[in-house]
Amino acid sequence: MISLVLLIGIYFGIYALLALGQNLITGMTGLLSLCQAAFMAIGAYTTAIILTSHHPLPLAELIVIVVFMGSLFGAMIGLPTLRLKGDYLAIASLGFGEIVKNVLLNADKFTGGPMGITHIPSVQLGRILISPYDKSVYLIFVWGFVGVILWGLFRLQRSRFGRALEAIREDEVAASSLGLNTTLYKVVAFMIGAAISALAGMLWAIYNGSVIPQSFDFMLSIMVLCMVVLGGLGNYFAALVGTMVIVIISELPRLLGFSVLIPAQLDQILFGLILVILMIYRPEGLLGRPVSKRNS
Amino acid sequence: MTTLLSTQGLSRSFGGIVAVNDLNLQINKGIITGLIGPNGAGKTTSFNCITGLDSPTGGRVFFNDRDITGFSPPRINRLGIARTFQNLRLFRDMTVFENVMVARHHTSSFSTLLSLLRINDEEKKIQIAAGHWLERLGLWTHRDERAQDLPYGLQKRLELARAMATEPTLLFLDEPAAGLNRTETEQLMTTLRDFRDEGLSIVIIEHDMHLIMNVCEQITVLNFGQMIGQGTPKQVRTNPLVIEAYLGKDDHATR
Repeated sequence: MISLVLLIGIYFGIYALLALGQNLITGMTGLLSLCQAAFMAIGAYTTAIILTSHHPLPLAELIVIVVFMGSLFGAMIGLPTLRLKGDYLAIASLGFGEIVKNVLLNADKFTGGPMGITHIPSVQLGRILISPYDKSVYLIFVWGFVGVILWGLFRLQRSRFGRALEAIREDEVAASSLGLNTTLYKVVAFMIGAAISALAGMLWAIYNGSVIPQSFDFMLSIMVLCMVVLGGLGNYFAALVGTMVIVIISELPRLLGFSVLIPAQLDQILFGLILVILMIYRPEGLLGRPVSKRNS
Repeated sequence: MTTLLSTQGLSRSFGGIVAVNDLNLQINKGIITGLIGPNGAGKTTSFNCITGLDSPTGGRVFFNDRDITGFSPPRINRLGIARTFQNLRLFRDMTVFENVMVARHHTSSFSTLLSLLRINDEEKKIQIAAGHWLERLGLWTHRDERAQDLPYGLQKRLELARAMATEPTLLFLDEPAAGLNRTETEQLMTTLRDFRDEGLSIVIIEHDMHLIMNVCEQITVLNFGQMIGQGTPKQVRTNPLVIEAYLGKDDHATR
């Protein structure tokens, strides 16, 4: 039972990172992006490839490379699409997610194709071994990341950069005519969100000891969006609450072994239903957006 | 009088509709210029083409003798051109103070990114400058209210404060008096005259003829995307082409 609670705690932490990244992109900056799963995949595969290579890198270097790869791909997709107005990003990010998955499936030389990469070794943090077999240590490890990133995001929200992102979300035309380089801000926000998701991918890969392309499909991106919308766009704590609800709904039956009884497609129906019901009855989400406290 | 901004053959067409047609505007330094004309004459479209929100299909825009055609809105703003919008474009969910503070970000785009990494005194400077403009336009006591909670008249004033906070040398106002009552309009006129006396050049689109005739030194009249008259309020009022545009063709039409 303890083990199950720890397991849910770990998944909660990993999904929370994805939700926090999505909240920065969608909640704070107002960009509808549908490819958190792809950024997560990039982080996961980067981790897998590095750790299974002949000379695996130490944890600190791994983190740097994962963050770099995440933001690099964030920039790659962000630069061409974020200059455009409207919902081009949603379409482009959707396509990007599919491309990443297909590349992972077919570039078997690097990614192992549909079989993925297995036997990913554990990592060492100082003298502590971070391994999936010691769940309590891994839980603390995961939530350490969540804590640091949450702190960083709060700081960002209170900074001028955060204020600029909010202005862009509120009215991009006005923001640009007041001298804000909106494309730059949007791309940077997008890169940060992507990097956070890549970190989630890293944690996922180390915990599972293997990665396969199927883990990172479109439904995962939708699930993450669902978490953020459920909690309340633009509110980081709400994103955590939303994540908790969704993780419990979607993981619990599986972890308790009921998954044989409940068809896998139920999740998809459920997420769709949650989004629709929220949009009708509570578009601001369960917790809503916090009133700005920046000036006080 | 020196020319601050001019357009040469500025044109903008949407498909077959020519909204602005071969327009040669001249905006002089240090005065208030009125841009009037019937609805659909191309006034706002010209504003948009000049401030970079729209790209002209032909012609060029010069600011201080520099060709600024096709510059992005932030770049144009940094050169010293600010504007307000016909339909308010406030950051509705942000406070009054924040709305104006955003307008000070341009002073330090790069340091705004750096603000993530460290605390610097830039923020203090921004608050002081924003506070100055709020006080100036009588919004200081409302600074912590959400922009959308302000009454309409104050929202319009907030948009003006926000534009002024970017410290422009040339200010474009798109119907600043629309929706204001008589007292508010008089207040606005006083404010605009003050700004002008401090050296700001202003261009106003407005249908309120009382305002136009009383604060503008120079008026340009557009119809069907073309300039049909230009001059002092008195000259414009007696220009037969202008009268025709507003009142229709009639030999006996006088004002």
